[in-house]
Amino acid sequence: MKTVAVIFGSRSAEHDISIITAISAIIKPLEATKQYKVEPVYISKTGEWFWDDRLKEIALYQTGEIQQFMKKAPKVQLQLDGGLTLVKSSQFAGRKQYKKIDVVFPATHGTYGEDGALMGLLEMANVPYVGCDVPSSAIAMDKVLSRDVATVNDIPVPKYEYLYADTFAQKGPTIVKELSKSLKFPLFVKPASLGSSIGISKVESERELTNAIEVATHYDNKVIIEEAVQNLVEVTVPIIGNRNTPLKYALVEEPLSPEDGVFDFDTKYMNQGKGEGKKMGGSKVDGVSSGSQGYSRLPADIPKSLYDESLDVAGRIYRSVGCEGIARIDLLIDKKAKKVFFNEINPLPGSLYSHNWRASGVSNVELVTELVDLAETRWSEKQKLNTTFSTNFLKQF
Amino acid sequence: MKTFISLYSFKTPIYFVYMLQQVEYNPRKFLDWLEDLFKSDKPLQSVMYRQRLVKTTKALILLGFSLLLFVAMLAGAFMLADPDLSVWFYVAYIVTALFAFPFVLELSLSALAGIAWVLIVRPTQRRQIHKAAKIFSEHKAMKVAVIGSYGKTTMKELLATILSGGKSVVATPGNKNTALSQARFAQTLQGTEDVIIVEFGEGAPGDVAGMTKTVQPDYAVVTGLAPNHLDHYPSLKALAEDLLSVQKSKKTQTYVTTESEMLQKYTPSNVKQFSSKEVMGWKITNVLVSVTETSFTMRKGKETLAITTGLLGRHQVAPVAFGAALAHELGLSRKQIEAGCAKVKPFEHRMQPRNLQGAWIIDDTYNGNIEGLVAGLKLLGELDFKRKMYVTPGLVDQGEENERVHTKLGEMIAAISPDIVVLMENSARPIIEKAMKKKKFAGELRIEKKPLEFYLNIEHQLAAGDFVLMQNDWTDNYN
Repeated sequence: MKTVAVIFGSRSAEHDISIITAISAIIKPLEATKQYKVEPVYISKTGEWFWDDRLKEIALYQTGEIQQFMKKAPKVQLQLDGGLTLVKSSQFAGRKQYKKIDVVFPATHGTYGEDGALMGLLEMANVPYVGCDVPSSAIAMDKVLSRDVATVNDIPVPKYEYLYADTFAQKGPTIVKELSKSLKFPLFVKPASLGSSIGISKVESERELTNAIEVATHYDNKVIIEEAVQNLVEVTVPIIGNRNTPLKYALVEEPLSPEDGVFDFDTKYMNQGKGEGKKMGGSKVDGVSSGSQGYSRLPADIPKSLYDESLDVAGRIYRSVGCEGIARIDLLIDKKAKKVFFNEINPLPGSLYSHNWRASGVSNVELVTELVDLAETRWSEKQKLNTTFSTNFLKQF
Repeated sequence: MKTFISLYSFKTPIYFVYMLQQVEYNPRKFLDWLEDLFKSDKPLQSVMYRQRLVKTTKALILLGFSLLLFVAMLAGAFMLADPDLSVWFYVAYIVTALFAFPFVLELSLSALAGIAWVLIVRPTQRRQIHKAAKIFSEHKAMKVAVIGSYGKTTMKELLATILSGGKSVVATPGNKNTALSQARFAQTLQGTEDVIIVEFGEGAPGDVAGMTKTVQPDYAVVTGLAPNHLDHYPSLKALAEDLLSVQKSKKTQTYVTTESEMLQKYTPSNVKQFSSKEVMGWKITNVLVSVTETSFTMRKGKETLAITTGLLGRHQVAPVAFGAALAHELGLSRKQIEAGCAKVKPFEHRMQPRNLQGAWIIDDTYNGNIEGLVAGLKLLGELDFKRKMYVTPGLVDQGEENERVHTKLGEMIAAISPDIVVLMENSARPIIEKAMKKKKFAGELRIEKKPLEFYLNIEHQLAAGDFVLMQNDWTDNYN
């Protein structure tokens, strides 16, 4: 039986969402396969690592018992021994517990996880891991870089500019004036590297723009400002596959945005079954379903031509950025102009978007099994590459 | 041995009181349960695998009594205080007292419950039942009795829903179907009801006859026979005779289903019957079954009823048609009957469909008899899905019929041939598996050792296009 370490939590604004993703969408289905021994590895909000079977219990986090647990539990050491071994004190006569890991399944969202930082560590350990690699994660998590990649690959994106927090602190008023001239209101202001719609604002005027940039710079040093797409329909496309495998698409899903047009953190994660959702009733009414990210229409209610174009744009950006394993591509559609724009990539979608995969005919068990297989295949192929080159440089030195 | 060792726990009094609570403080049932537990060699704590003790006054008194008994047994050593006795005598006394405590407690609790049963409970119950008989006899409403080994709750609920379209209807609540619960129900009647529906439970010979005497129903419907409660009935025949005893009442028009193979054997030829083809002179045609509803047409003379109901499967046609026919007898209009039938939805855990992003789960976990299981399996066979899964732990309480029933179930599973069959590891599993193999079941067979874990995580196994039928779930009493 292979051992899969599921790493979750981490120093991220999306720490709590990561716990849900890990336990409900990854650990339980992996265990249901009965093919894997799952080792949960939890990274606290302050960056300490823990490894214990109790970390699989959601109640530990819901009740706040995790704080007591962390005070008593030994912290984890990582042993990079041509692979990855978890090490911790057994708290008995100075003995240590070791667990060799066959595959890592990262379940971290946002900073220090989804942004490539964790993947860098796993690359150094030379252990197979699920999902996007270091460069694709880093590009995906940077809204500016991913738009740059889209632009050079002729993938439409809304007109955008970006700035850094320190530049804004020095020349804020001038920058806002320039932005007001170069871009057309309404605009969206977003922290460049945060997911889950944290710190996002929609603005209609110069004054609002200043405030919105101030808010966004609280969360990130880099901020993107872009034109809002008119006659907007937002859709999202979950995809799985490696560079050298055909891509598998889930259904094009249409998140149902609130009236102000901003799909913020609370709307996404806290209002399931409340507010807008309440009007819609249960889990599925007329194609409206409550997924891991609130209410959405599954499949999206858009003409077939736009549906197909959405899949095409999503597939092209997935390939262009070099995503592997799994990612979710968010798109913006101008319904009148019948144009699909790339918006952003989530290299690790919340709960893997398993509700959508299920509706597409892929069960949670099949999804996690395929992702682990893709991770192992990629790793095996990578082992064939030469990483050494013999020279007599040292002798000459 | 496991049961024996498990008796020595601080929680033993809680387990005993929980068991007494579950058997309504009937000492005989409590001792039977303990005997079964010893026979199966399961630890005492397994009785509270999923449920907890409800802290009622009775339960707290018994727990208090248990504590006093424990203290008294240990205090005995001090009462015997004698300087001539060796310290080893006291050690031996305390060890013996600790060793004997669970057994003394078991007998004391049984005796306490027994005394209360004879002196208080039984006479009170008799008075209440006598009073209920008077209430029913003086009430002008139409009284309908619902009787059978299975399908009672469904029949009661659907009758209540359909007849409510034009009448003021009341029915016994939940699965309250003992003589005592009927007596309590009688006291809640207002006197203004048009129809009273009473579910008759069968627990021991003479139960149905006794209830018939109390309620004096105008109509009675017998829904089916299955080898349940054979620990209290000497034979299946005795059970059938008790269920059918209602037809001896001259006041009662009794209707017996023909859809129960076992019941057919014992039904006298002069009793009125109903089926999925004919009910009270109504002919039934155009039966269509889907995962969300069942529809059919009823014709009698020039009258036609187009029935659609949320109950699933062909086996629901006869009961719904009976409800529609009875409603017609009681004067409801075509519109009222059709609307009433459309309002009938699956009851909790009884062929209850749930859609999970395109995957269908049919929850039939309260189905506890072979005929119900077969009916569900037929639905599984009839519907067209990408992948079909069947989940069951088998049936409990089958007495001598155990081998035959589970063999039939295994054969039926093989005949329907779902893609995946999930059986729970228990005493029924080898019988079902053997029958499946004998009939050359070609699908995938999975054996689950942790049923609860499996049920809680089943959604992870499913995707759009899957159809899962989950039938029966063993109760804690039998874990």
